[in-house]
Amino acid sequence: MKKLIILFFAILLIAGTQTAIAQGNSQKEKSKKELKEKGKDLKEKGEKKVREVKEKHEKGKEKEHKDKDKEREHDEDDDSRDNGKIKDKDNKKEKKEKKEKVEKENNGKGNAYGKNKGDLTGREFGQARANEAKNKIEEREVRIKRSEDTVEKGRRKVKETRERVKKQHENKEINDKELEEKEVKIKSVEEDLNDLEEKIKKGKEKALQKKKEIETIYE
Amino acid sequence: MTFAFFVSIITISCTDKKKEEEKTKAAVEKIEAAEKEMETISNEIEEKTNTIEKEINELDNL
Repeated sequence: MKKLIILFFAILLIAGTQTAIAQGNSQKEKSKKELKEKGKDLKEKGEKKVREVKEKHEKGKEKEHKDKDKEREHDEDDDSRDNGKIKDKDNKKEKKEKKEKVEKENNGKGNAYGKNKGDLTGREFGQARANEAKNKIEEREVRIKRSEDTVEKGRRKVKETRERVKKQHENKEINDKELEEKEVKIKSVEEDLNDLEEKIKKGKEKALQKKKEIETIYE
Repeated sequence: MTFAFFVSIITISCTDKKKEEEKTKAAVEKIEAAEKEMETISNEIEEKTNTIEKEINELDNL
């Protein structure tokens, strides 16, 4: 669509210039002479004006210098008294102006997506954001993998505890009821471990999926 | 004529910029949603891991 519009306007432009050229060819030669003459006159007039302006400028400068010298002499006496107060006021004003400028600049770089973020264009900003998100997801993956270690450790511990409790029962250190209670506790830990394992599995799959999703956004 | 051409070019470039902005906005929203989803999943897993670690330590007392 965009290309069509551009093409349309380009054709219109070419057509327009061609008709203008055709009409203008006959009058060109006449107008060339007139233009040359006019050009010469304008040049002369321009040069004169430039000279005048330069002269005025130089005169103005001389006047300014003289005035400034006079003012300085006059102010030096007054400044010795009021200098502190005036300087403070000026400094405060300057600081305020600087702060406002900085705030304005920062506001310009706010949250508008796609607008220039520093030197980044919208696409570059998006790509940078995508990379950042990918890194964050990878960090999360590492943390999820740490939980896998806990699962492994838990499984080992459950096995050891079960064997120990069995031995306790065999040695009649605990009765049947106590054995049952301990078994229930071990089973609940086992179920939680299964639950965590399932969650880790899903989390890993999700991490892969999200990473792929992010990669496809800017492919 | 040329004025119209330039005006049209400017409007086209403006609409292009706006479109790019919208595209980027949508992309960033998608990225942020993915990031957030992963964050909640990972936090859930970590929470569960912490409770399980406590349970594992309690097994020593059995």
